[in-house]
Amino acid sequence: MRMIRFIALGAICVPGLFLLGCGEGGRNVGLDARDQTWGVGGAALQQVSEFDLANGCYAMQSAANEAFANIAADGAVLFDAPTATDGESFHLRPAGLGEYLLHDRAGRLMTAEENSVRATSARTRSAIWSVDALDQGVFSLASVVSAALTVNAQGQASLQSENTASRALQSFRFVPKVDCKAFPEMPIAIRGDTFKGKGLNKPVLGWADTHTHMGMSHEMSADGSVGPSAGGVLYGQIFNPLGVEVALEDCQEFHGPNGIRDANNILEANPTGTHDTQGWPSFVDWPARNFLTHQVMYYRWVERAYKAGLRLMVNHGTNIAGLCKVGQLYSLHPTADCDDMSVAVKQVEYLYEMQDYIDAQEGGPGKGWYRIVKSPQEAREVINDGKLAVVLGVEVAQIFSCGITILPGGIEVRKCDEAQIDAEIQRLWDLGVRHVYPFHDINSSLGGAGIFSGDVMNLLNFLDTGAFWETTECRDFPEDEPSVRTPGAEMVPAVPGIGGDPLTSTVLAATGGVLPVYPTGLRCNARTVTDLGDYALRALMANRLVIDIDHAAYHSKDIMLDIAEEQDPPYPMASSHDAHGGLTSDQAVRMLRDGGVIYPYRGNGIKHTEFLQKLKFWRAKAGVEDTILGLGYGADANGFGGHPGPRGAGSKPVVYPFTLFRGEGWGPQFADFEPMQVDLLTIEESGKYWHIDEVGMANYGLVADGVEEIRLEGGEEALTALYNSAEAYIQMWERVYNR
Amino acid sequence: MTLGLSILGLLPLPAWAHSFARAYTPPMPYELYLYGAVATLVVSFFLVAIFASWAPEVRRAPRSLLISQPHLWARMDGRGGLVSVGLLLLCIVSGLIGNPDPFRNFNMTFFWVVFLLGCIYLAALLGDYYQRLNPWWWMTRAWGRVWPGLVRGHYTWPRWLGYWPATVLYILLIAWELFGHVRPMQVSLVLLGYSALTFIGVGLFGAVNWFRYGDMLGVFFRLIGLMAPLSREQGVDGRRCWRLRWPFSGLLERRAEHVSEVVFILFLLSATAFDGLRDTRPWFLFFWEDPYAIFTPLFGDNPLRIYPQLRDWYINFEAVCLLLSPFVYLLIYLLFLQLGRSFEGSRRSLHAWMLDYAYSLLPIVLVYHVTHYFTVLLSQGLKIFSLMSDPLGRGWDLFGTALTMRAPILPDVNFVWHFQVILIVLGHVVSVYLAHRVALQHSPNRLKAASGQLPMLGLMVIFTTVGLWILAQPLVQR
Repeated sequence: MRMIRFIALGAICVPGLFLLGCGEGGRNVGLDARDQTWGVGGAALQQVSEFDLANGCYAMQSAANEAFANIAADGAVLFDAPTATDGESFHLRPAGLGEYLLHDRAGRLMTAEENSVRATSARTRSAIWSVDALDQGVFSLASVVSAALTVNAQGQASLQSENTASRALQSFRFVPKVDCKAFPEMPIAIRGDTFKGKGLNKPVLGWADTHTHMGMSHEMSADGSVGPSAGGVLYGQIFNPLGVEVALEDCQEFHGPNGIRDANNILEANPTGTHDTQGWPSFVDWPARNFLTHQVMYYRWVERAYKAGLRLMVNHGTNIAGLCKVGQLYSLHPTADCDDMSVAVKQVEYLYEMQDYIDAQEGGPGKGWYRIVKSPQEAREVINDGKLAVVLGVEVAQIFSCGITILPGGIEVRKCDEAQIDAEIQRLWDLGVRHVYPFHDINSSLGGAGIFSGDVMNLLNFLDTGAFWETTECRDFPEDEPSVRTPGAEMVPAVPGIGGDPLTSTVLAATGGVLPVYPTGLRCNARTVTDLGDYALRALMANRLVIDIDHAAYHSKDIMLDIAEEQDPPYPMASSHDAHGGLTSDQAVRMLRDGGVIYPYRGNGIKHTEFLQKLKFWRAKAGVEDTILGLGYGADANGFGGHPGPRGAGSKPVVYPFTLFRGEGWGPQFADFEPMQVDLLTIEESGKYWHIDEVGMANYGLVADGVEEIRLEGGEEALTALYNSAEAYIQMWERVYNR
Repeated sequence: MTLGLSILGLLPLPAWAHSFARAYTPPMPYELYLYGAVATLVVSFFLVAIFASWAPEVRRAPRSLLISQPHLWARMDGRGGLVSVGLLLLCIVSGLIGNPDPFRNFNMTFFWVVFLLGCIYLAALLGDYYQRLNPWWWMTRAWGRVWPGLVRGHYTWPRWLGYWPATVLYILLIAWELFGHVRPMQVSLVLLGYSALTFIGVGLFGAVNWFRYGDMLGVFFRLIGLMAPLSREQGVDGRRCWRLRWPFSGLLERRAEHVSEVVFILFLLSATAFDGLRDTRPWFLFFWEDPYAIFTPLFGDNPLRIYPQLRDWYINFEAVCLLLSPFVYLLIYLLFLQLGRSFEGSRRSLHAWMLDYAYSLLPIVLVYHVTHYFTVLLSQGLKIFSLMSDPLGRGWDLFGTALTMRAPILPDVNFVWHFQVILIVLGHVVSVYLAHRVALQHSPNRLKAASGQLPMLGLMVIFTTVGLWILAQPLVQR
């Protein structure tokens, strides 16, 4: 009878209550506490599904004894409060879709222990509860690591198998309250509602980041079951079910005490370097624009950028096996997966979990702002709905597991064939991957990597393939015209004084790349597109994947363009982050003429404006000035490209708060948008703040601040090009996809 | 002097770069800069040899160049002690209870950048003002009024001890800065320790001796102050005056007193050079990438792969290099001096030569210091204005400047490179000139003086070449 009454109460609808309880993502939001005496009228609950509880503030009532949960002095959870007001107030923080943390006013989490339930300060998976809606307003809870939460008639909470306990003992209601303690979370510090599109038949507005690595994380799953990326080189997660306190906690486990095992010490050529390992909330040393081994894409930082206008993001699963194996040794995670394709796929799969997590925060499947898209049409729909279209990509050294081993004497042992390439392309397509790098950093069976670093990367190439790069002189190019990146790199060690004379060439050829001995001057990779590489490129085109030309050897880029131009119509390609290995004016013009896009690394406002002038030059030369002028960027966040620094004191400063979409520099296309205020990104708990004029792009949230830099430096033209960049990418994608 | 700017992640240029950055390419080949610098030195040497007048005695500036001490300065002279003691205390307190973030805490920027960089440059302009602003001297003086016996000391300063305490302390400071995990708290603890050491030293040897020979900062500022175009003297009326003089001419008015002082000067040179060298890519790659397969057989794996295991070994290796560096420089210095003696046929002892010419190296110390660190002053030093409003890093805004001048001044890399080249060459030319003037004081004639200086010219060429090479290495930008 009690159970029936309980369910009946839960079924009564009180409009508005739900909205108040769960709206706005519910952070620190609750309702008037109403005593919910069992069977005595009062307001009932509107929660229809388990997703509706997200980020609301509630008292928790048991059907077993009609009492509300309370926390005893020793942390034990007892259902002995007669009214909701007397009961504990829990912030229900989604840990995933249908999973919650119950966060009390003391900042503790309701945690499953051996056979009891206790509020503890520990952040463990035992604090995650899977919540199922039994009926409208009635739920069951089960620990994700243990059993179902049950309450007996005396109000004692315990854990029992779902099957052994009666349903009444497992049934709970959540009664809205207002006095919850906010669950710790990274602020986004942007006020206002972000904009939506102007219709599916209209160009999208918003910018594109066409190269980033949100899947890079020290754990590539929500439940901790997969392991780290890059051998554990990078610390920090894009999210964690237990919240920011765990996602960005302390990197000591991976980087050692004071960061003495941090690979960044090597990347920055500072082997005696140290750093404070603590993360949330003080963030003493990381994230920073030149700390490449710490997470910079925590989802709330990405959300800040999205709110400001990020509308398309190409997320690449990435790995370099040679670097990963070094990372295993540094991070003391020797069993970390270092297979390029395997890691990339895991990162991509992790992004689906990211999507789910954000959905959970926003009230259920499909409700989140982070939407993985698989076609340009889908991207248009998502962006028109005011959300972020996430395109999946892969950028690994051994794409399709097509690595290579060079034996003494220069004999090549290839690790893939055409059938494998076809199978891997299909696998990636099925996974939702739509943007691919055929070459990356290390030579492969498909061809040579673009040389941009003549030292450490060469060593990695050696570790991966068994041979150092063989180089050649870079071909002539129009040096009086702007390049995306001038080709080649000074090799280390170069032997001073030796050059292209016959004797030197003979000696170098004799070493067959086994010895890293090079002539002085800029050198390009002698390895270009192999027959397998040719096959792979044509297969990618046949399968309508976006091909990124970056990282291909300079001379390979010519071959790629030749193949692209053999197609009818020419196959457009992307250059998404500064074209490592070199991309010169003649190649840039061909790319644009073929319908491709060229976006640089994300620079500061000055660099963005400078690059825009280059882009206009190439467009004019290619005769495509009448097409949309879009200039996005490839942030390479969580990659090793680094992030832009401040513009310097001589520049007009960014003054917080600043307003988006109104005022000088904002064209008429933004007039319909609600103005948004961007505040200095500050963590209240510690006072830590990131000012873009001081620290540059310390984390991805500062991309929003970069918009103001661009406005100050480039005015309307630069802003318009930025906010056209998602449309430009989608148009390129449509030319690839709709063939 | 090498200053702990790596702590702040602010070494002039590498801090703005990373391993995948693009290199800055000077408008001319590096070799041309080198040839130009060497040619300038050689030509300067011969011009000095030909035209410098033979003057056994250094003429001091005439009295007419004595000017009254500015009123404001005189007032500061009296009360500056309070300010300096207050700043010392603020540094200690902010490190102990303030924000652990080096960029948010007052003491890191003040101690490492404003004090150890900015104040040094100020000393090169205004002379040894630190002597009168030394907070430990002021505290000792105040203590001495209550307990006079403390400042008189109990022992005379042993002659053999010379400047060794200051030298050793300074080497330790730099070693700590380069190889320690230096944070605001640690800076406070070191300042407390240094204070205790100072009071013990004063108690043992008396304030006069300790601040002359044992206080590393006092010795450093005094040496730099010798190059200033101003010196503080007592006027005929007994009042303090400033005397105008040619820049660097103060170095000719005195000579080094002890081998330890020479080592101190050489460490100022070698530490800066070493700090620059260890930041170069060739140095890094030589060990870690091991392209010549020297270390891989020793360790059984490529050093880069086993970095965590080799890190301590490497730190010890670098620490030994740092500690040995002044003595290596001393050997080289003595070698070239000995050559000079032979060329000149001098009967003066090598020891006398060593002391005679030591101060002529100080202009190089200054230009090394400026070229390596002036960008740090621009990028981080100005933040002191915002830190004054929030010294503990707690979100205060005491003077309304908390967000003022947080943006770094980032001079153009091209400008930095050419400024460095000019300064390095200028410093060495001045050094050649000073050495020649010293030689003229001790040589029987100009020809002998010039011949004795030929090896020193060689040394200057080596210093210039190495200095420019080091500076050229980290020039990268993105």
